[in-house]
Amino acid sequence: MTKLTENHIEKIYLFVQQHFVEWYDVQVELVDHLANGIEQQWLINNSVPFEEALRIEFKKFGVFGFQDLVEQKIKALNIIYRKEIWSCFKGCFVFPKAILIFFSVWFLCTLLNSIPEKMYVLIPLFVLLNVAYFYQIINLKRLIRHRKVKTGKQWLFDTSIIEMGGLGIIFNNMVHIHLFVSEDNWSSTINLLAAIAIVLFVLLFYVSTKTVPEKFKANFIKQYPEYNLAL
Amino acid sequence: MKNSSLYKGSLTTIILKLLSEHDKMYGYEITQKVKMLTKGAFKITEGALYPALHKLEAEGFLDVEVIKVGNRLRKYYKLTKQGVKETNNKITELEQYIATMRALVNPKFT
Repeated sequence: MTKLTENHIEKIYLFVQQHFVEWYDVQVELVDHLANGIEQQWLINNSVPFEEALRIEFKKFGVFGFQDLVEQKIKALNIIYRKEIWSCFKGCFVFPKAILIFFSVWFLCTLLNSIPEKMYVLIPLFVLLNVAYFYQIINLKRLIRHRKVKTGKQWLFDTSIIEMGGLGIIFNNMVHIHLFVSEDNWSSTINLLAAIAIVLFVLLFYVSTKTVPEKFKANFIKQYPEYNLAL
Repeated sequence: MKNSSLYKGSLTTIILKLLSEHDKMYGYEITQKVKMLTKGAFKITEGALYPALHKLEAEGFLDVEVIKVGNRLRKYYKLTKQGVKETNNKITELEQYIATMRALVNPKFT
């Protein structure tokens, strides 16, 4: 049986890349599939040229090529990410972490009760969160660029971390929250509800930007050990 | 079989069932196995297989392992504990569906 050489494999990687699959973690599976198909063709007819065999295999993916596959992969990664966020978020409501959450709610509620101008509390808090969010994004993008320069590879996994499983848009717009908050006098109940909402939001932010990426990365390195080496 | 749309609704069940019979499998192997078992009557298209695999992975039914085989990397899928349960549920559902269809297509009048 005629096997593909290293050079052929390189050519398939290039082919996949030219067909709009720029992420290495998606390319790996496609390259292996196309390579298997070509080797299977050669088993039947050894004289089919490599390029022709590759074209035949690619046609099997249909008129949209790899597009559906990539879209589904992005969707799948976002689902995995959001599930992880939910699992970590729920995990915060157990002893002793839960004590810190209740204390934060009590502290914030007391603060809101004692300050008539709520914006003095809310705006600095959301600006701080926004700065933390953009710092995280810039840092991640720098890391991705560095990785690409060093290895020539991009990972879809990194993109899903930046997008936080599709939740990034919420954090991206949080600085505008004050536009929706009324300046009227707040009752104690509203202060308590606001304190709960803010603490839960900060917790969600922390889990999405800190806890989950670390856990997600550890699982991903188990699948692709070379991801870790590419730092 | 020309009308493969009849099989489409059962694609995830077919994948899960095959994986339950093997320790782990890769995408191309699944397509070939189905082709062989059905004697070419049903061919899983590449455009349907991978989205289905990625969906099952996202749902927590499959675990992934990437191994270097020869001069390239290969991505293997295997069932998780949750995946084993889901396979049993899906097969039961499919068997009930087949029984219902059989009763409709070939009713026995008593």
